[in-house]
Amino acid sequence: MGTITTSKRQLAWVFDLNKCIGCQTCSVACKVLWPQEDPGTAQMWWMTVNTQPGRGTPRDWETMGGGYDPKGTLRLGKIPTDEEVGGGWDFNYDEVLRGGKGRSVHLQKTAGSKTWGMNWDEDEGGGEFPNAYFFYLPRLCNHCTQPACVEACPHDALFKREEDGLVLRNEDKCKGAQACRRGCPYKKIYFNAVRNVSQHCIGCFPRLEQGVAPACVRQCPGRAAFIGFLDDESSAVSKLVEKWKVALPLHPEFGTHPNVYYVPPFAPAPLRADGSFDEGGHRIPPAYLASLFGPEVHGALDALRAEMEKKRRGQSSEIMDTLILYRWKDALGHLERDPATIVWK
Amino acid sequence: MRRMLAAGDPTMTPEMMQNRGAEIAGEYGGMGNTMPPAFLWYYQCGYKERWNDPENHDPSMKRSFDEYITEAVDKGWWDPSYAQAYQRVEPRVLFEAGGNLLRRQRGGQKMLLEHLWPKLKMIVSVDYRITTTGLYSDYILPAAQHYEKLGNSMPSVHHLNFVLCDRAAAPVGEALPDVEIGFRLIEKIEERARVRGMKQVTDGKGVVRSLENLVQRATLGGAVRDEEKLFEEVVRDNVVYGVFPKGTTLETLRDKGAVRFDGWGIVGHGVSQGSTIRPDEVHNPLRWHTEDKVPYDTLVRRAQYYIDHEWFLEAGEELPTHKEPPPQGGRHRRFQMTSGHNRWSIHSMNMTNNIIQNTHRGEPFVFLNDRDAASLGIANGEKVRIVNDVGDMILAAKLTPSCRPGQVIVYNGFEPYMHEGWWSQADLEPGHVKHLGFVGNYGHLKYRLFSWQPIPADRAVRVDVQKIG
Repeated sequence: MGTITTSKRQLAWVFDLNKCIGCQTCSVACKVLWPQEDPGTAQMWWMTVNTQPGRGTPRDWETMGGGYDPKGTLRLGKIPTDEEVGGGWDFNYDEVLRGGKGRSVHLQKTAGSKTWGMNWDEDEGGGEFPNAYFFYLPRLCNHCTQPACVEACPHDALFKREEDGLVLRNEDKCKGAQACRRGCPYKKIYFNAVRNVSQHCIGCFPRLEQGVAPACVRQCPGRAAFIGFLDDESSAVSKLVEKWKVALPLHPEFGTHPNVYYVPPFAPAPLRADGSFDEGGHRIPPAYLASLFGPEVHGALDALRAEMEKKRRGQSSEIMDTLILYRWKDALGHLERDPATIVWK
Repeated sequence: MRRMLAAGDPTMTPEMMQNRGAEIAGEYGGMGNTMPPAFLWYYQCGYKERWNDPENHDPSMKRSFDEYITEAVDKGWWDPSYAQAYQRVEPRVLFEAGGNLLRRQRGGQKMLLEHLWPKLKMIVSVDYRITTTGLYSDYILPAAQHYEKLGNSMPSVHHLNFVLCDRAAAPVGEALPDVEIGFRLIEKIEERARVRGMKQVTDGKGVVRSLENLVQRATLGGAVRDEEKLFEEVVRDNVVYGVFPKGTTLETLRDKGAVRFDGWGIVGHGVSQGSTIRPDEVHNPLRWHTEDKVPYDTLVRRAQYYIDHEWFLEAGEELPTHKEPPPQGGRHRRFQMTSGHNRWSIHSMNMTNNIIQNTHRGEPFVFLNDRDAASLGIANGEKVRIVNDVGDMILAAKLTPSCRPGQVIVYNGFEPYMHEGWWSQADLEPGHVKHLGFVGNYGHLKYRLFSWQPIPADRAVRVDVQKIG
């Protein structure tokens, strides 16, 4: 079993779910930058965005177990099957585009493709018309403070980096046992069958080391993603998480103390049968949000509502200004260097 | 120029003069002619029969479609060279760049493949991907992707930034920047004309156009033959026109990546904003009219909703009014199909890209209300047939309570060749153009490049959803 060390500082992500538009730019930015070309990585999406409510990726991941019980004892869950991870599709491009078969063939997944994908239930959501609702949930490795994957690893291949708290893997030590995949309750670890190693988000550490924000954060066109040190009081992340407590971890009950935080989503007021708005009602059931972000979500939503109301009255609100993000680079904490200025060796 | 445009009407505002200029630019400028394609569709692509089918009529029409369009042409509401060209001449060459007609044409591929394609002697597609239209072309000229050439992405009033899109990688294979493809075609045309001893051609308007020194003329004597030099010239022009701030060069753009618009210059799109850019303020159009009280370029020179044209009066649309959508697609169909741009997503031009396919279902899909689907016994992910009077297509059902009961939503952008049988959403859109769209030469209802033209209605198409098997 691996040993969890304490890091000196902890890097954290915040996603504002009221601004995420589900465009998948973060996912694609990551996919193109990291695991795309290597053998055995076709099904991997270290960064994903899913529609909630939904079954997500891997399919029904929230039911797969892992993490810690309330006493702090490691719980090993199941390893997502290849079918549940899904994706990794390839298509019959040559047959359609160059095969000379005309309309008798059409572009489709090659035979034996998985029947699920990283964003399979996009825009389906919950509720009932006209009071349907959905929102987008970007997910990556939570770089947990109490990472179950580290403890689960029988080969001590995973470690928590001292300087920024990233959970990284020594691939030379990894023997493909996949115990990390059982331990991780967020199921954000993939298995590379070609190289017989598990793989997950590396926090873009080569970029971090050059003062550049991770690709998922820097590429976000919705200004919904933030990064910074939790103990850097000047960072937006620290303010949102520590000071104002309006950004919350996903499934805190999993017991791993994740370091990706979410500003919970609002939705328009529900409609009554006569077509009028029920201003006091909730289109997204608060209980559903609490099932994702814990009971703290009610206080966070109340605080955000009060701040929005201030803004509507023409008063100033530091919280809203931070979330509006007038100056985009304020989302990047100490990592605002332009990657174009770096000459990679 | 302004004096000329304003001759006889001292009350014309600069905006009006600019609009008049745009109207005559096609005729006198070197751009050649542009024309509303509705006339091409009507006379050459089989739409005449469809638009005259009383079953699909707009109920406001008191006469046949043909009587309206004939009257519009006879009364000179449209430049006869636009309106009559395709009555006289069959098109022979289709040359398209980045358009993908066979996906996008409202009315569907069948109309084009059955009526237009047999008339064509040559079809050329310039694109960076192989589209359905490309597969139906004689030639595909491979174009560089946005990141393989020097250009701009999307200058827009929404963000008021001109964003430089620079070459990050060399074009793959034989691909070339589209500007380079254009120059090489011009070179070839000049060369072939010389060999064949052709010195000039007469265009559809009777204008004689020289075929000599084409390259010299297109490249300003060779000065802008090079991609970088051409772009530098574009930047310089924009500084002169007051669009970019003084001092902006390709070099400063490369350094900063983008530049904020200073003004609208003299282009039609810009002047049509009717509003001056105020640095670091949200841009609102029409301020010249709403705040400075400059007259609008309308018939009555005020914000005008009342149109007392005889056709509008006849249709009861002299003022904006709600009407039920005409029953295009079949009056007894249960569902209405709305399509259109994807929800926020990566551009549909990349829809068949492997990575992008992996970010959704990797196949074309239709949104159905969950209760509607249950009533039809359709499960999430099941293949269904969408059918109406003009076509059908097969795609996967995606069930969601966010879709209104009775509605089906199909995003446009799926390539026809992604569907079994290749029929896609546009093949169910009859592609009707409203007859009132052919009113012209009446006040501000006057055709102008990039301004407006008769276009097909593609919303609220009646369809049925069928379970397969």
